[in-house]
Amino acid sequence: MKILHLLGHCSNWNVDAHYKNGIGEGFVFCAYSFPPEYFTQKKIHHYSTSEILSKSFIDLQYFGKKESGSIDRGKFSHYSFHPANNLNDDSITNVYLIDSIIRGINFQLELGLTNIIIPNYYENDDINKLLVIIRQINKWVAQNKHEGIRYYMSIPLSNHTIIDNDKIENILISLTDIDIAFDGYYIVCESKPENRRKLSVDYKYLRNLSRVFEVLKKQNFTTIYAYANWDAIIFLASTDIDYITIASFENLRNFNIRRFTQNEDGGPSKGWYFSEKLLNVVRAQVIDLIRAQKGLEIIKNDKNIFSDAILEPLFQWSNQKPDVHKNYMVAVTRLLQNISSISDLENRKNYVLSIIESAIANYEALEDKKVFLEDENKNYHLRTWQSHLRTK
Amino acid sequence: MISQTISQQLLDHYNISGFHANVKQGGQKTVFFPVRDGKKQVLKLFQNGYNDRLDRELEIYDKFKHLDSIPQIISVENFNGCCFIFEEFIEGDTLCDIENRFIGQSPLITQLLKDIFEVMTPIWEQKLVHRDIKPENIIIRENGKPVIIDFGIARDLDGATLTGTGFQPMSWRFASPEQYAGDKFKISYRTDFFSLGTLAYYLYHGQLPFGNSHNEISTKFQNNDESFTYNSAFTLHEFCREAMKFSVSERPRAINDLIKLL
Repeated sequence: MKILHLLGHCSNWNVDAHYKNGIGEGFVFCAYSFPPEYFTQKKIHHYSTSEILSKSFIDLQYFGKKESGSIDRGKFSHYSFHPANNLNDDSITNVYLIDSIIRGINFQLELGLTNIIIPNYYENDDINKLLVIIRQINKWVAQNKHEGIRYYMSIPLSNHTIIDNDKIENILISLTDIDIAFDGYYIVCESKPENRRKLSVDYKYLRNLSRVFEVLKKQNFTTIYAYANWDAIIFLASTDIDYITIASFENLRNFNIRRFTQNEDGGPSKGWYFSEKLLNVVRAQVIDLIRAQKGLEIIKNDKNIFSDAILEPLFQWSNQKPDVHKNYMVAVTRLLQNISSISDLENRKNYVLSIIESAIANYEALEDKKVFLEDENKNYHLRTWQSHLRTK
Repeated sequence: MISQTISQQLLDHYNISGFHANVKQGGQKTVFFPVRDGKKQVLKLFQNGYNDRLDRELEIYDKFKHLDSIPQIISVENFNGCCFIFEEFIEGDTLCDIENRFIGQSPLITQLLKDIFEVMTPIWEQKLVHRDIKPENIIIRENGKPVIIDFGIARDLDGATLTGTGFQPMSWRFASPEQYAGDKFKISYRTDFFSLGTLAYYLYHGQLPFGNSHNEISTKFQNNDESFTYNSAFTLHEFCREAMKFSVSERPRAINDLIKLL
């Protein structure tokens, strides 16, 4: 398993985390935040562009186009071939869709990338439309494949789709068909957590997304789990996923089609402390209470300089400070690497069950100190994770 | 024309001097075994005349006429409004007539399966599926090599479907869960994998893996109960386990991946 940084707002934090702190093995640039001219400059955040591109992917993010005529365009309009430039829905035909995908592939090839993420459209409900596009692009890739280039087809799974066993089986049958020429799949899944939650605890979501990774791996495809939150832990527990993305902000950790069709500002926030011991985040405002109750050791990440810095009593919390996000990057990377280092999948599952058990005990230890966490901070997910893994 | 008889006029017209085997009645056709010009042949008479299904079957035979492991079509005829084809007669035993020889014989079954894979691989690679692999549709030549017959319900996965939603033609003993469910979207070359897994199990044990009646098998499929018992000396259980996954997507994707399990 390799970690990739999914880059958007404040991407310098990720690039620094990679070069200065050794976190992750590459980058995925999101087109919303980076125009094509960005890749022609000599340096990106003080590092050689060619060096960075040699370990990079580009996600052209065609997702929003078919869901709404009023796509939030960001930097998309800088890409002449991007479907965001064509706002007249009436003119959208399958020929246009396929053509824009092929032009998206060619753009990446011309840039010299060796790992191509084939952009794809989001379909809320009608998987046949999704499959028609995939089949046509597969045919094109089979005929136009360049040696030494790896092609990863984007598979955007709407929440409607991922919770439907039959749709998932039909998609998997197509993705694993005899004539598939793709090297792997870039999986983007809409998790739709409940209000005031960061993670979905929908059992069907957990079961079916696990199945997607398991089947694709079994059939020898490379798998990339994009827009992953830390529930990647659960999926990695049962499958050797090849790449998992980490990111600073919610919009790149929790895929939601609304973010591509409406301009949504996250708003001001003091930020969150991600605790590898709770397998969850804690709101900045609660940290003082935990400290006062002498509970910091229960949640504190080990060997993490960013965690040390932001847990200092005088630290001024803000979601716009890099250390808050770098704490997450270090902690989640360590968790994922520890899990993936166990090659035997039965032992791996037991290891993940053991860290879930520890996290539950840590929540209880906090309660013993009269710290009762609420909303997304509380333990709303760990028992579901346990059940999910134990019933596999 | 009555399905089980052939008029004297037709016999005379096509120089049929007699019959070398008893007539067989299928779902949509009657099969005769005429002797023509001193040679044994097969005559398939289609009750409902020329239709899309026959057209597809002929296309398949034509596409693979270079293979000696499927029968050759001699001619397609239309006589007095009757549609029929003359087909090469394969000398040998139908697998169902000699299946007892395979009971308890893993190496024999392994070789047979390898030979069947050799026959079917180019067909699957052309996105065609037989859909009715069973002992009755496999003839073992005198040299031991199998010939696959009766592509009457084969499907071209790139072509239009000929069956309505909710119905899939099948032989219940060797049919897959997707055929039982009538789910045409899920029919693929991996449907044939399932039948081959069932065939391997059946030849060794003399009984079917998931029950010995349509109802028993259907219940296992509906309950998603993939378990089956097998003799400890049966070396093909891993092959069967993978080929007979109820989920189509979980059956091996690459033909070679399944062959490696033999």
